[in-house]
Amino acid sequence: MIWRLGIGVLALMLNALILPRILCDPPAHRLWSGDRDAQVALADTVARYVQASPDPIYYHTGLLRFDGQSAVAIDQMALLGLGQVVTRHPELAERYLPAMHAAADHLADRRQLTYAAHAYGSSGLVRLDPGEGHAYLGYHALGLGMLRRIEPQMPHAALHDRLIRDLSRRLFASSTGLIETYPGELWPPDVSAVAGAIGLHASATGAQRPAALDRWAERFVRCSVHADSGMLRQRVYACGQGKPRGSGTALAAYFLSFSNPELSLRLHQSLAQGAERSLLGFSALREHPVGFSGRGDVDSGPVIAGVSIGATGFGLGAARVAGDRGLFVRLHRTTRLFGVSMPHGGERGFAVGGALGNALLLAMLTAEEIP
Amino acid sequence: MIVRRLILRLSLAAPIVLLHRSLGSWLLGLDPIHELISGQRWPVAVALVGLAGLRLLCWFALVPWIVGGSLADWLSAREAARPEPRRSR
Repeated sequence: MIWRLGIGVLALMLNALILPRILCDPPAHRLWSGDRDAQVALADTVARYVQASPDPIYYHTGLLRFDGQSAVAIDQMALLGLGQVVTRHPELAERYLPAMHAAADHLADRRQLTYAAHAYGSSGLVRLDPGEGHAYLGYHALGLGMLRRIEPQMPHAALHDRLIRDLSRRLFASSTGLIETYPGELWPPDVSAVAGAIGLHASATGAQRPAALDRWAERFVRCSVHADSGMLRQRVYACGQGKPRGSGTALAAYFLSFSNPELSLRLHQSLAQGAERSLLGFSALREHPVGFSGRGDVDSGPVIAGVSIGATGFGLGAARVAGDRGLFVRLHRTTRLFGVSMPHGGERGFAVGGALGNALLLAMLTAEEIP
Repeated sequence: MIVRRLILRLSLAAPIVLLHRSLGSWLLGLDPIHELISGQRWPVAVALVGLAGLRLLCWFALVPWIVGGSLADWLSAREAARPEPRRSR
């Protein structure tokens, strides 16, 4: 009967509009307001993954660069996420410091940087020769900086100071605002991690924020921000040349919240105005702005219908630091649907994310709003 | 009749929801990326695909099937119970 079919279609549409909001929005608002239980449930999952790995390399694909970079991302994001939770709820320090120490030990372990040692001849944890960029160390320095903020007398304080000193010297001397991640490779999102690490180091040690960060930002914007879209170029081949991408822009917006809040807000604005795509209240962010196209890669994850997992996931952090609650809630619905947020014992995590996805999302979902 | 069909729908939906939760919880207990790379590759791949399907079913199909189906049953029953219009001579 025709009316039976009509009822079916109406029920499907009403359900799609109502049920995801009922399932997703209350947890999104709890996370937004920094609710202790909501943060602890996800933080416990991440702490378990980090502590379960005595090896500084989590994934053994045989691809040296992927294995090393994924391990650095897990430990850095775990430190940032757990540190943000502890900053919000200081009584949880005892609960999460063991996992933070484990992640920091991994980051300080040379074995995690075998891929970088192959590129440069030696790991930046050991030696940085003049003229070499080693911008990948921004991830290490940012992670260690978060532990330093919680625990000023942390075991790797000397390494942290040395990394910041060497990276600052390189960054502030660069006429383009860029330093190489690996020989011949300029990746602005990695450079934004370096800047973020310098900002976090200053706040963690009680030092004054270097004024050179503002002058650096002007040079960085000139070469790395695409003027029309306002998005960050993922890789720069020469000053002002390279495709702007959503995942790098969102990640940089989060990193720069530690050092250059105005630039962070500007990058968030470019995403909020030009990259959001919505269907039935579910939002995701475009990987390529209008006029650009391309496939997914290790940074973006799969690109489906123009939107990417990377841009959407990192977009949660960009929305949070900018205080954009609407975008955060809409992106969170999509993340919860496709990340398959699930309870497990007393924990809650994203079933398809593993250590990497859960650590990234903890950092993004608990990011601190720029004051 | 309507209640009996509603109970049937609910009893079919319950195991789907339970399977969805159990599969998700199992995957969260291990690291699916690690398993796909160097562990139980096939069981985890099948579980991930199954979980995605169950997630879509639970979020978008089960409630419309239960509520919409029951509403349609009720309307059918109401129509069947309506007295037939008298035939004019």
